[in-house]
Amino acid sequence: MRGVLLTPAPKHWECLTKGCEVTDVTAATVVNRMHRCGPLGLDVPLVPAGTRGENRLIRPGHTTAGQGHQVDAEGVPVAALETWREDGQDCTVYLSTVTVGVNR
Amino acid sequence: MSVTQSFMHRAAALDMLGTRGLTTTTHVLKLALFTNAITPDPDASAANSAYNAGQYLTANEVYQAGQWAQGGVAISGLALSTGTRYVMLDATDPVSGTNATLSGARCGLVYDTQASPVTNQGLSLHNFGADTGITNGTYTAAISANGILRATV
Repeated sequence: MRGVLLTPAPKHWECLTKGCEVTDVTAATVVNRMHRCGPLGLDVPLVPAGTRGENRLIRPGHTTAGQGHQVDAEGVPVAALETWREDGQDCTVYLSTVTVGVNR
Repeated sequence: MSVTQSFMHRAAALDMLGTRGLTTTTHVLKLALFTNAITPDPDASAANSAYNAGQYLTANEVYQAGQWAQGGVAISGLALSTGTRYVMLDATDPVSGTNATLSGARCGLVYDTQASPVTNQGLSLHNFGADTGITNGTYTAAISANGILRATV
């Protein structure tokens, strides 16, 4: 008896950010796909094509000014991005850079 | 020619962080999440900067077994890069499982599980600036293009 290996269908991805037309196709086993989102200027997760929802930026509180936060396309600091889906919600937190000034 | 400045040589900083430091295989860094109930102190002793010591007690940790483990997610792909007057520690974005539910994560402690003599000594604290969480989703810590840690020389 001869077995036949079935190849899973590729996974199609898209971005929920308005104005971002980025799409991607990966192996079905890939569970998380980031891309550089042009409108937001940040690394943002793609979602499986056809997913309904939206991306929402979370801004850092006023007590965190000057703490190395990442900034969006307009240069405004960001804390995180929430990706709201019909069946749940993802979060991408933007890790600040800790700077050590050895000489300056 | 003249002498115009004092400085640490970039190669020395690179050596401290790299050849004898964080990117060697003897160091395993993790990112653990904590709530806003803690008061981190950059001047804390080595012992009190460690995971599950000082301010970083598990009572204030945000985690979910099987998704974002207690003790944090290992940071892979540690690499150093350099440019004019800087040395930068970069890595792959730590990510949870795909069905995680977390709430109240306000900051992340990067610590070294292989540090000596203080095991799990804290390396850096990253203030998110807002409480973060997810429901039945994926939690990703996106590392800046400027790295986790950046030393200017």
